[in-house]
Amino acid sequence: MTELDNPRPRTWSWHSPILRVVVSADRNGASLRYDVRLVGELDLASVGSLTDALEALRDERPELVVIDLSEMRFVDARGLSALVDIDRDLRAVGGSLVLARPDPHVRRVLTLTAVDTQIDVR
Amino acid sequence: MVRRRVRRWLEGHGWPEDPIDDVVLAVHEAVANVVDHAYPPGARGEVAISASLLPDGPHRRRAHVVVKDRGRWRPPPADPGYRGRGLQMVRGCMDVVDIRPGTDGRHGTKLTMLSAAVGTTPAGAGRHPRLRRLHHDLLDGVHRAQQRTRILACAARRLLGTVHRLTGWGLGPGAAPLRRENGTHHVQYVQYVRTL
Repeated sequence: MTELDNPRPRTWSWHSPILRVVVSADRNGASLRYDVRLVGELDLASVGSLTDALEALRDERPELVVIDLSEMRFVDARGLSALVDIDRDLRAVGGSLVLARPDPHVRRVLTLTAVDTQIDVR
Repeated sequence: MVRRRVRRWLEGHGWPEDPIDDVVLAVHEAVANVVDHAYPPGARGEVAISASLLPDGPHRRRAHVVVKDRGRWRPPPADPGYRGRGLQMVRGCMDVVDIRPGTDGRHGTKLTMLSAAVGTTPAGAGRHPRLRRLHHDLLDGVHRAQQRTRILACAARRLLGTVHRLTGWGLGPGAAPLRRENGTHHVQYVQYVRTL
């Protein structure tokens, strides 16, 4: 059975002690979209879970990746760099990244580091 | 983790939530900076954190945090990667930031931070109700001495706990022995974090 025969989203998740990454890949015709939920804290210790969870991204080249930040309580510089790298990789292949619903603290960090001028934050 | 300890310390002093977030992030980035950049890959390194509260007028206080290492200071690259962002975050979250690279091979970088002045709520003024009646300077002195000791011990324990969680090396949280040198707790952990 191919992807096209099965329209249900595929989901997978990665865990570290302080971060859960849940990815849902939804193919609609020729276009592929990733919805990612980050639950917990994205820092130098947990950033590997995010990069591991999105490893398939390089091969599958989704058009749109939406990362829901509403349950992410903390992000550090290393975590931000991972998000910037994902954005860069996606742009290189014509895709785009959206950071959705950051809480006020995370939004402030995105502003402080000007990451919100590089990545689409909604 | 250092940041949980810093958070609990400030919560115990009645700090509002947003200023706590700022101090926690700044301390985290300062320590992460040491982990990443003060020591060459594979080297054994140490970091010492000390924190205290300084009165700023009768009803306001500032958090004063010093993060020291014995490594070699390396200036951030022109392209602001995560290290540049880390220092941006430290500067954006604190009122005063002073970075002093060591002048010789034996002394590492000392990063001193002073938070914005925060008015603390009376309910959070201390855990010792009887002491509250005393002059606030005396209260500050007592808390400063207590907290300085506690935060060092807990920070070291949590760092080792993190290493244990990440690498399986060493002792689990709560069981880490501390090495005392000249009254300051040090913890050897950088080598193990670097190998991730």
